Amino acid sequence: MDLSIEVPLHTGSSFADLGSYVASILAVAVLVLVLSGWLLERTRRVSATASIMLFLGLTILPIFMMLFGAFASVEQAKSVEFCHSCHTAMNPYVADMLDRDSTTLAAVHSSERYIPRDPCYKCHANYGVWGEAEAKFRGFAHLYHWLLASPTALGIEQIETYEPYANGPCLECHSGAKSFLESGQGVHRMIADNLLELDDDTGAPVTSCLVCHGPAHPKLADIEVEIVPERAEG
Amino acid sequence: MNKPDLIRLPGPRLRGRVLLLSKLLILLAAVLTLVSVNLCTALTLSLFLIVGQAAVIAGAGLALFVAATDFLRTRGTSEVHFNAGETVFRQGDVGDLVYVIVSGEVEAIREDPDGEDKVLATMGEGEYFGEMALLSDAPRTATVRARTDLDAIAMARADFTTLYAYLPNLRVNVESVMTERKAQNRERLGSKSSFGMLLAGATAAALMASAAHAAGDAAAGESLYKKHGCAQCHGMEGKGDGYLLPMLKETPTMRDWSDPEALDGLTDEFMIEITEKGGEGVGKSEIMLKYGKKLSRDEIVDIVAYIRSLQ
Ligand code: HEC
Ligand code: HEC
Ligand code: HEC
Ligand code: HEC
Ligand code: HEC
Repeated sequence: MDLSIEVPLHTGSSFADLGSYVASILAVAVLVLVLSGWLLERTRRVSATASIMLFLGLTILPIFMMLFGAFASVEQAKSVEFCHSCHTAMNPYVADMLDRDSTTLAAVHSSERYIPRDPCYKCHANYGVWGEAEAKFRGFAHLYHWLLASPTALGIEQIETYEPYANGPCLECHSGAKSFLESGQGVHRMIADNLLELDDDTGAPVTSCLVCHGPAHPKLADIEVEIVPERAEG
Repeated sequence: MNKPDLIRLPGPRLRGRVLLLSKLLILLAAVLTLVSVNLCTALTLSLFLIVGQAAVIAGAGLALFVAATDFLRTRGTSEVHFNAGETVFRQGDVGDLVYVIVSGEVEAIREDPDGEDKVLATMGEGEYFGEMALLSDAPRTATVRARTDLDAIAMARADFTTLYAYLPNLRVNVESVMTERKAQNRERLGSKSSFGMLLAGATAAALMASAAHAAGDAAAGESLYKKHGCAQCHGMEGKGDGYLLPMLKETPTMRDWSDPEALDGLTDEFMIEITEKGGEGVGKSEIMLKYGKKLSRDEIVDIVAYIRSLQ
């Protein structure tokens, strides 16, 4: 199987990169200021300079460091690299998505570069540590499973979405396109116009996009070899 | 006497510990930030978001607390406590505080890098130290250490000089004790004397507010004159140029007592009476206050003798 990876794992926005550069510079500045201020303070010679260095290094800069760091982290948490960092749990999905021969929905979107950045996040937008409150809980639930090394986290058991996948994220990108509304034998327009009923039990649209366009990812059982993509240079 | 309301600031040991904690927290946060934004893994991100952010908030908060107490310490008069054995300041430190001992004892030590440290003096209740601070940001000339648990009042230079400049009363008090102090200091520290020590006498005097006086007509009158603030209006040399006058709503005309003709026609009786009953009591300017309750007849007689001696 061809495992050459064309989509780099690290696909964070340049905005996020800028944030992480600034946060890194601030963090280094804080380290330098605090450590040298500390040393100077001990020599008891230039205590005024030491005080200023410590004041800057202990109050103002760390606060900016925290703000930029939080911004950068939240942005980075959207990247494939981040999802992939929980290797055993998320690897099958990443590997499949990056596999150019795969025909799953995620792989099609990725290999054709339909979603140039943060594809996992775009399709799971209401997922994420800093998403909406409910998504946040899910994020922590994943972290919890992962920390406890549950079977799903270890990649031994099939992961199931907690709730049926709603069409929301798909429509976010597609509902505006004329070609989309006019294709799909009228079903697309009906879905976009909310004309289709919801399932009484699950609340999911009876006509999920996946009915005709699935599967989004392969099932665990279908993955014969574990595919470990190399980390691409980003 | 009521105990003045002073802010009690943390001593150096507590300050050092708080600052140390702050430094460690911030260093931890900086490392976590570096790792988190560069590695982009769930573990580092969670550590940064949970531990790192909390560390920044706590660390910066503690540092601000230290900065605020440092600021208060150099801006005002505050109460400080040192445990026995703690160093109040060290030789070579830059200092701008004068300390007056409320209770406890300290020793001043001259640190000699090549030789033995030498105890210069021990000081106790009511005594002061750190006077060099009043000169400028000059380095401390000796290390001062608490021999016992120590409560002291730390007074900032700015505070002291303001008080000193605006309260001639205090200044006068202080100056009268100064000579005494100066001699004592000279004895204690060999022949060295300094402006700082002179002013330090002032601090002590101001806080102890006690001045001993020998008997003697004009001489006793002089210190009473200065102690009771006559100089605020009549001036330090009785020239009628006290600092209070320009601040009054209407500036009274004052006699210059150093002018030989100034008191012509004024009897001692009148001078005693006006001091006792005030200007109002004798049909003169009510700005001249009445001192009948504060001063005895004998004391007023002494003051008048002093006033007469100014000519
Ligand atoms: C084209 C949109 C799309 C992309 C890109 C995408 N997913 Fe999905 N994903 C879905 C949909 C739709 C489902 C729901 C599948 C279902 O219910 O059968 C899903 C389900 C999942 C599940 C639950 C397991 C399952 O099979 O139901 C996981 C885990 C998951 N995705 C992880 C990822 C990861 C990690 C990435 C990035 C490497 C990613 N997804 C990229 C659309 C996407
Ligand atoms: C902390 C490691 C970790 C990271 C990072 C991680 N996941 Fe997961 N994820 C898990 C685990 C473990 C599960 C299985 C949870 C369970 O069994 O309940 C899971 C389940 C899921 C599910 C299905 C459950 C649901 O919420 O409906 C989706 C979808 C998913 N992950 C998407 C993502 C995406 C997208 C990313 C990157 C933005 C990501 N994950 C990053 C560990 C992680
Ligand atoms: C971030 C935007 C984005 C999201 C989210 C997204 N897509 Fe797409 N998708 C695209 C783009 C761009 C194309 C290529 C242009 C087109 O065909 O409209 C595409 C193409 C497609 C195609 C045609 C694929 C082919 O064979 O060329 C299908 C089917 C499709 N998407 C379904 C979905 C479904 C179902 C979802 C939800 C699970 C979804 N998309 C989510 C952007 C997105
Ligand atoms: C009833 C089955 C069915 C459902 C449900 C369905 N589609 Fe389709 N879709 C089709 C068929 C069939 C085509 C290709 C034939 C065509 O172009 O008419 C298609 C084509 C598409 C294309 C490519 C259109 C283009 O621009 O060329 C996109 C994008 C797409 N579907 C997205 C979606 C999304 C998003 C959903 C969910 C909101 C969805 N579809 C639900 C049947 C379906
Ligand atoms: C608040 C200002 C003020 C203070 C304080 C003050 N005086 Fe006077 N004093 C005056 C004024 C004004 C006069 C002039 C009254 C007049 O002639 O109407 C005066 C007059 C006198 C006179 C009469 C001689 C003269 O010059 O007119 C004597 C004596 C005198 N003061 C003594 C004292 C003594 C002693 C004290 C301190 C115990 C004192 N004063 C404190 C304002 C003051």
